[in-house]
Amino acid sequence: MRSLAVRRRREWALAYALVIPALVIFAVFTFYPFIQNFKLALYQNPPYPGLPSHFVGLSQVTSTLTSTSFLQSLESTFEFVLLVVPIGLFGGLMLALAAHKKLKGMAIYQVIFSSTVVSSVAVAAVVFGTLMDPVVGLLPWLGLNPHPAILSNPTWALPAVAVIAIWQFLGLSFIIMTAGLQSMPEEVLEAARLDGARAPTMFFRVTIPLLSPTIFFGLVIGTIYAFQSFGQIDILIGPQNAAFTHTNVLLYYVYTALSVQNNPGLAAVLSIVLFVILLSVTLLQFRFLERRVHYASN
Amino acid sequence: MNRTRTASLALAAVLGASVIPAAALGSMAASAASTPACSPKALSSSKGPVTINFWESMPRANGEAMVALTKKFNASQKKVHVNLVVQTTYQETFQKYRSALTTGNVPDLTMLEDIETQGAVDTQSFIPVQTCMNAAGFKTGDLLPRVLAYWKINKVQWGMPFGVSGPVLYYNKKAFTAAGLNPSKPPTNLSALVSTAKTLKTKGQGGMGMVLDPWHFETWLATGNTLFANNNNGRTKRATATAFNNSTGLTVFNALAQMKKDGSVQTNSIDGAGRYDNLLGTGSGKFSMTIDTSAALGTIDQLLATGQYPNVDVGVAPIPAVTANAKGGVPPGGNGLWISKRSTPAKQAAAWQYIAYLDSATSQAAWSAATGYIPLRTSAANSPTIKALWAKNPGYSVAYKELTTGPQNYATAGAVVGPFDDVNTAVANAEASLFVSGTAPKTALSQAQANATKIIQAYNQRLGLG
Repeated sequence: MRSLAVRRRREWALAYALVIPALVIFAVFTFYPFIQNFKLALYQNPPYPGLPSHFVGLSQVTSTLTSTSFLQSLESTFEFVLLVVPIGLFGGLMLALAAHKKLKGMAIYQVIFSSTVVSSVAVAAVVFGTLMDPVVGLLPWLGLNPHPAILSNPTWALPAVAVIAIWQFLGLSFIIMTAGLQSMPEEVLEAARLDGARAPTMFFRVTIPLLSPTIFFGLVIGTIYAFQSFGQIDILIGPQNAAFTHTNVLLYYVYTALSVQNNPGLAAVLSIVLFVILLSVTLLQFRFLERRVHYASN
Repeated sequence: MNRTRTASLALAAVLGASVIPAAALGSMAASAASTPACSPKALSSSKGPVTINFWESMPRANGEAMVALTKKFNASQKKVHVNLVVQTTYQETFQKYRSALTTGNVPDLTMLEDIETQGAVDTQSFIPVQTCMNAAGFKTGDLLPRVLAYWKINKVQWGMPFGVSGPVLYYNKKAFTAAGLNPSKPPTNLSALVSTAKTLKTKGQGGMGMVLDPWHFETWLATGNTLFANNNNGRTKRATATAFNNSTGLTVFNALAQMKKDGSVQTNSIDGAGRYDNLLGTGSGKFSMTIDTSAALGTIDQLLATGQYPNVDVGVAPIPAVTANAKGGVPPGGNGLWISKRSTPAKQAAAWQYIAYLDSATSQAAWSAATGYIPLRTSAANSPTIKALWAKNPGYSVAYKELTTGPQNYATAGAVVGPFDDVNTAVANAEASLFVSGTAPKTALSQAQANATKIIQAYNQRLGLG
């Protein structure tokens, strides 16, 4: 009996020993800054370094949350997410269905379709930026040449940036959907086929329900991905652009608050808001959508 | 001594209104007591040459002129050596300077854009050059009063003007002739500008190319003797709001909206790839008129001399005044030189000696001839170099005349507000809304006023003044 207790204690000690390095790293680089961030939000910083900050309590939070630039940023963020996630998921699903057929050479297509995952944001932004250039780009060649140019046009800049994010998300979305399709129980599909189900019925009544856990997973991942897009906006738009107020999504606002306005307090408030939004969106997705998800029993 | 007193009292008044009055004044008083800032004695008693770092952001032809002037200075004496550190744009220079405040590696002398004047004071990291002027017994003499006034807050000279320009109207004389207009009579006020643009456009000569630069808006207000910001343009007390939502401001916005309605104008943003579209379009014949800085004149002449633009004969005229009977004037634009508070008294004195050289009549004449910036002294304007230049090329004299005509008051001194970059963005966005979404001028103007005021208040609050 005693030896069992000792052994159990040893196992616990080993478990802690294994966890501690990770815990220390998390504590130093994640937990501590996370807590400090809440403190920062309570202090107002002067516009220039080297001058003292002062405690303002929650007033900085309320004034930020009611400011027009914040509301505008929130609107742009949701517009961006609503463009990127559904289109990205749908496109990924379509590509996955197309590449799921057992044909010769399909592996090549699977590699091509998933390749956007490994492309860098900077490269994608520069390539698309060139395509959208008002002088040498593809768009003017197609006869599409809005004035002001698309990337400095208040109406079109955000959708243009979203196109790049969608393109990049397609690869991941494709991989997730393909994995889902491949793990789909073949006998269910076959049974449906034998029962005389036609293609649309198969798709909506069998494939989609069986794929729902996968789509749900893609939705959560895609939402987080879209909320954290940054590089495309920084490279193609930037804070001096005429269209900037319409592309200033929350994450980018955090960056400009910190590096352009030299305002850590504002940046802290914004990043807390971003955290709360991501947390609640994810919780909502789990709370309401998971009920509709069908997990196949083994 | 008495003068220094007055200056430091005025300085105290400025600083006293900010975050840490007691601490700042305490440390300032202490350092002033032990080693007087900028004292020429500190320089004469130092052993060997004093080297100072100077951050400047002059591009191309202007940059070459900067190097030439500095080489001449370094060779002319053995006490001071100026080390030029070339920066990119004005905006990036100030951003880099702000980061340097954290790391502590700031230059002894910094060239900052006009609009950063209040911001530079608010960093609490510069000494007013007034201190050096007083210590050295410097007389401003025939330096242009309006130009000095731009870098003065509460009667204290903070930065020293160096490269100063004015916005001017560039127009194509050949297009004027082709449209049946008199090329020697360019428009002198906004309504004439609007009708001229319309005539040019309907006669197939291309209308007006317009860069959305809020500097022009500020200038138009001043030509109508109207303030941009309250508290005398922020000159007697810190500005707490903009003051342009009035009939003068509306006249400007109405004129812009009218040109948009006539289809006689095309705009480009002040930033990004299209920055020079208004100038390039005037060269290519797409436009026949544009407004831009007089400091572009040197570059324009270089381009025309290549013979690439046979259909262009550039005329330069003063920026059209807001109305035909406007009694105001044009405020200066350009850059000022700022001496670091963190440098040793010897380096501060060295920086001042260099500034005094740059603003001397000889240097100013050479500088102006090479760049298109105006000569800052009457004696420089009357020098043989400049007289010959102006006789041959009258366009170079336009900005100088702009800055020396009209009354000397707070409107023509120009505005100082801390977050001028952001305030300008608010104005530019309102202007853009006239062109992009066809917003009513009255609405756009009051939006600009409201947004700019909010920006100023938020900034003042961050300084602990709100």
